[in-house]
This record gives sequence, structure tokens and C-alpha cells, in this order.
Amino acid sequence: MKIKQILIWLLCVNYLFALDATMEIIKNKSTLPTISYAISTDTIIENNLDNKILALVKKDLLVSGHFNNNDMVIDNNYEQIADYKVLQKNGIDLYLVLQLKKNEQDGIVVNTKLYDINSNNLVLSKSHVTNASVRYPFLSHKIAIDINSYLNAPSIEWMDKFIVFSRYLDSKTSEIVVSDYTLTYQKVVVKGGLNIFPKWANKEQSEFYFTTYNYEKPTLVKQNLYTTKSEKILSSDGMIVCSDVSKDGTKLVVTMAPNSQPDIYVYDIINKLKTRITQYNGIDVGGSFVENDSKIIFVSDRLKYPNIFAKKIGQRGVERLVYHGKNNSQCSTHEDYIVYASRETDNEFGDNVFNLYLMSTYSDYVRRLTTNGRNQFPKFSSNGESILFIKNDTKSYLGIIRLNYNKSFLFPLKSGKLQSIDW
Amino acid sequence: MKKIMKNTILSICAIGLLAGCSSKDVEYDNTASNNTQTVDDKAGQIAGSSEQAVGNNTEVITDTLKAVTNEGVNSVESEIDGNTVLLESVHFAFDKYNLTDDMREVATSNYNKISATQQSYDGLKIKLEGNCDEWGADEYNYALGLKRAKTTKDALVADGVDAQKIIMVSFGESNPICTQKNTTCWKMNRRVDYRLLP
Repeated sequence: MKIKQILIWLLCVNYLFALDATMEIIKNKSTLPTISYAISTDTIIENNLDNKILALVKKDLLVSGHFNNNDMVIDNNYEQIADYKVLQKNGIDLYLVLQLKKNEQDGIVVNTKLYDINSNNLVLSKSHVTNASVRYPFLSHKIAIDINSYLNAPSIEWMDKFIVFSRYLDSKTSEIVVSDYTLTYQKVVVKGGLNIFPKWANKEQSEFYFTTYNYEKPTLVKQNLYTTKSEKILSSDGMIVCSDVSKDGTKLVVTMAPNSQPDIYVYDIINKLKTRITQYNGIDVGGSFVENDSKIIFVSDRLKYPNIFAKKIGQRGVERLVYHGKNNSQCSTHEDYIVYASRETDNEFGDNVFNLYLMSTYSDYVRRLTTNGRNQFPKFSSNGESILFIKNDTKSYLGIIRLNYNKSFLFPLKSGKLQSIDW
Repeated sequence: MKKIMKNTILSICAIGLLAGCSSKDVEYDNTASNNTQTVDDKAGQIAGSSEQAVGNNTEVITDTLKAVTNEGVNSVESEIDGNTVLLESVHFAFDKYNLTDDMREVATSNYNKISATQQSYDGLKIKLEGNCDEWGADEYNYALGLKRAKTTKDALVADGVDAQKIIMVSFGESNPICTQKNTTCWKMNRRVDYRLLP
């Protein structure tokens, strides 16, 4: 009865405060379910792959924010039923047993059993297979998603999505790579020359756009991930960047300079027609669709420093969106939320810190999401609950901010410098 | 199971309470599978990398970039039919794309050399490459590099060069000539390089 009352009280207060995700939060870890793990004693596999897969499952569940990991070491054969009494005694709520087997050639099979210790039940038994062991990170992500789904916790399906990024290797040299969100799996998909600003062309992540400097003019190319078939879309003097793709994939927001002037255009890939959106005699870049693709949010220096603005397609007026900071040169949007990167000083002699800020278009409150270093290129997840970003210090990192859990995680890039990302 | 559900509901409520997150869309999956299922990952089908056609351009660049460190400036040597033309790069202030008086003089000096060369080679083209330091967002930097190239183009046109003979490109921060982390180095990277194309 008491729990019921607390729940009702929590839900009521939650509703009152549920209007603005820019509010600061503090997470209560002690109420999360505790999960423990074992690798089946009959697992014999090369390259420490069993431990790598398990480590990544643990990392995924940590990033989810829905679990407490327990590092208790347990000897368990896959066929043997879990020792519920010992696990209960140690405060374990869930127990995962992994068994790895070699498949044909370089393939692996990961068998998983998930036990609910409080109900004394085997609740999930599933196998994941890949024919190349190098792709094991995606098996880990799928296992974590299964465990999370069992709890009916908020979805972490995004963990299984590809990240596409460009990394600088040398002067005028960069390559485009497809990876998982932890950068553990990586595959180079475009190399040779300067290839930058990759952007997924559709929700299925089967094609992507990127800018290449390997033709006479900077050129926007669309490439199929599975066939490598590529198609030239547009080219422009000076520069060309695809900064957003409409929900149905038929329209692109492009920064290009056919008249030597960097402006924002919308390009219809069906009719092959481009429409100029901005006409300011300075810098307009980084456009993205909002409000059902009827409005563009973009970065402009029309106040003599970079800041975030919005313009309705087909209308004349430009609306200033951000009233904080003196150098806001990147932004990403999700529904009514804007995340932007802001340089904390407006000259080269400051501490060179770039922080990320989250704001709602319906309130004045701005929430700072990072505190130090160079945090740039923020991108909302499809459900708006996470933000992916680049952190460049002595090394490059891919960062993830879990907005509802007040947590962020960094994954280092082994070589090169991250140029841009999309997911 | 009851305990887990209770804990989970409590924790999600507590997080939601403090974060005010209920306005977000959240997916729920109520089916806990007890079946054995085989799944292959989509990464298995990704094709290998495509090699971009480097060197297939029609443009042939025969010049070399030289950093003249004792003068604190850098120049680009262009080789036109055996003759070497040395054009000094034009530099810019932090986050700016306007020419200072001393840089306008450099632009004029470059014009004089280009004009003299054009008298012998009518088809000569001038390529202006805009560059930035490592500060700022990358896409913004590509636009800033282009605006810097445009400023030097405007200066050349004002001095008398046919606008049709000028090509511009921005390399943003991808083409530094100095990679140390100091203000002198960053200043060297905020530049427009002049290249002559036969």
C-alpha cells in the first residue's frame, strides 16, 4: 500500500516537471536492478573473444543507465541451471550466461541464457550468429538490447545502429568509416583523397552522402554501403556539404556556393531542383530541417559572430534562436529541442573550451551538457534521448550524452582525428 | 521478478521525476522471448572501401608549398612552362575574412606578379585556396575558408583580373602548414594560398 502511494506521488510530481528535458537531474543508482554475468566453462575461443563480448555487453548496460553491473565471478556450465540461492544471497536480480562457439571458418555463435533470480526462472534463451568474428560488437549490442527489452525499460535499439564518420589522416586526406557506437567495430568505406561530411541517406542506413574533393570541384556523392555503387549528386565551386536529409529521404539541406557565396539550399533529389533558402552576404551553414521539414535551423554570422537562426522555407524573415554565447557554430535539433556547441571565448587566446548546451524553444532555460575540452558536432539520437558528439583533445573521442540519466561516455578513436559524424 | 519490476518502476519514476522526461517518446517491448533464435548482423554485408579517384582530375598542379619561417610568412611556388612564380599567402585574423591593410598590399603584390605572367600565358588560371586554423566547427570553417578566398578574389578582380580566370576552393582546417598548438602556428594556417594553373 505504501509503495502504491509513493508511486502515485512520484507519477504526479513527474507529470508536473515533465515539460522540460533541459532540467538538471540526479540519478538514484541504488534502485536499479543488479545483473551478474558468467561465461560458460565449456567456452574455448581464440583471441579472448568471450571476454571482449562480455565486456561490451556490460558497457552497453552501463550506458543504458537501466542496470547496475555486478562483477561477482561465477563458474557456470551453459547446461547447468543457475544457483538461485547463491545469487539471491548476493543481491543479484538478473543473471546472464554466455557460451561462445566457433562457427564455419571465422564465424562465431553466442548462446545466451538470462535468468530472473527473483522469480527463479530462465526468462530468455537466444543465439546470435555472425560469420566473421570481427563483427562481434554488434552481437554484444543485440544481447544488451534483449536484456533491456526483458525489463521493458526505455529502448536502447540505437546501440545496434551504424555510426558513419570521417577522420582526418593527413593534410587534405581523410577517409570515411562505418562503426558501431563504441568504435570497437570499424570498416573503412571510402578512402583516397579528401572525403568529408558523411550523412546517412535513409533510415535503413543503406546509403550515405559525402563530400569528395577528388573531382574538379567539391562534389556531393551518394554511395551504397553494400554495393559501393556511387552517384554524383551535385558539385559547387568553393565548398559543398549535405547537412541534413528530410524524413522521407527526398530532400537535402546543402551548403554550397555556386555564386562564390556559402548559402543554404534545399535540393530535391527526385526533380533535381535546388532552392536557395538564405541570401545573406556572409556565412550561412549547417542547415537542418525542423517542424515537418517546413523550417530550416542554421548557423550564420549575420550578427558578426556565429549563432543559431531559423527560417521558414518560402518566407523572408529570419528568427534568432539562441541568446547565449558569443560563438555558437554548430547545432542539431529534435522536435522542440536544440543542442548547440558554443566556444566559451571569442578569441584565440582564451582557454579554447567548446561546450554543448541544450535548450528548448519553449523556455529560456539553457542546460550546459559538458564542462571542459573541445566538445563539438552534437547530433540527437532518433528518439531525442541521447546526443552523440565529437571531443577532440590530444586524442579524438566519440561521446554519448544520455540526457535523462545525466551521464556521458567517451570512446577513443585509435588513429586520426574525427572530422564529422552521423548516426 | 516482482522485485525487479518494482525496482525498475521506482528508478524510472525517480529519473523521470528529476529529468522531466515524460514528454519524450519511449518504445516498450512487452514480449520476452524464450525461443532460440538465430540472428545475423547487418554489418556482415558491408562492402569494402571504395577508392576515390585521386589523380583522375583534369587539373594538373605542378607547384609546391613553401613555408618561409624566417619571415613568418608562407608562399606558394607555381611552375609555369619552366618559369617559377612565387606568390605569398594572405593571412587573416581569428574568425575574420576581411583584408587588413598590410595583407591588401600582399594581395596587390601577388596581382602584379600574376598580371606579368598572364601577359605571356593568356590561358593562365588562378586558384585561390582558403584555409582555417583548427578552431571552430568544421562546416563553419569550410565556409570561412571560402569567404577568405572570396575576399582575395574580389581584390584581384578590383585590381584588374578577369573573374572568369579565378577558381576558388576551401579546405577548411584540413590543410594546415603548421601543426603545433600555439598562436603563431594558428595564424599561419589562417590563410589563402595562390596557385597558378597553366
